[in-house]
Amino acid sequence: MTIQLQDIWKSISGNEILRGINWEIGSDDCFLLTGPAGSGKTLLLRLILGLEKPDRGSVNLLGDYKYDTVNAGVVFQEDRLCEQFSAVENVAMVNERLSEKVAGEELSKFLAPNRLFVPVSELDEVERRLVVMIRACIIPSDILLLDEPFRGMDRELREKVIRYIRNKAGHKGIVFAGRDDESLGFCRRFEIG
Amino acid sequence: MSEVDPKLLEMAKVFHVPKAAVMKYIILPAKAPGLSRVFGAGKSTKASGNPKQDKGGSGK
Repeated sequence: MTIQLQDIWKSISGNEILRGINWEIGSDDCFLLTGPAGSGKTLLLRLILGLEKPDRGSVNLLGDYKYDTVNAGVVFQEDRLCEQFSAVENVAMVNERLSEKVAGEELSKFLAPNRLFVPVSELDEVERRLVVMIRACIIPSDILLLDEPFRGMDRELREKVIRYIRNKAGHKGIVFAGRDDESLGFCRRFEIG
Repeated sequence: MSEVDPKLLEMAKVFHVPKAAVMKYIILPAKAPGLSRVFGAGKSTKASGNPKQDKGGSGK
């Protein structure tokens, strides 16, 4: 499956944010989507997800693809966690077939055992980011779209998370959106703004 | 009673979260705080991996 963005233009509140974006993301592709703050990185991800419509241009899903919108594992810019529920519940809720036991095993790779079952509102910024990263990786999907997934993480943890993501992604395309990061040297850069 | 967070609903849409889970984890906590722990308590009968939870159980 290939996602093709053709001549995408998009304005928000009268401000032209995206101007004629052309981009193709295929299986096995790994991109770092980068650009200054406000350049439209998050907006571009939302267009790929079908959560926004372009003013001009099109987002096409090429290949033998049975869905209208892309089936993606997503790390949103905000955590979007169900605050009164635990990390295990937040991860398990997105996949009917996933037991809380399996969710707990995945989370245990990054979180201390005593953090798995407390409400996520009690977790710190890094722990919360780890939960949303695992949530994105664990659901069946065709691509991973990760908006600032490493916020607050030191280099050692970032590299561990990147290994986890690449391992879980297999042959899926991956898009990391955010600032330049030397840990992401293996990605092709796609710069906007 | 508070409003349902539209960003959570959007997340659920993107992840194709089942309707029952949307009700339990997103809508009920906003519309009827306190009830969400009763509704659908215990996602499944499988062991959760949490010894405390498994020991107590909900009887389901």
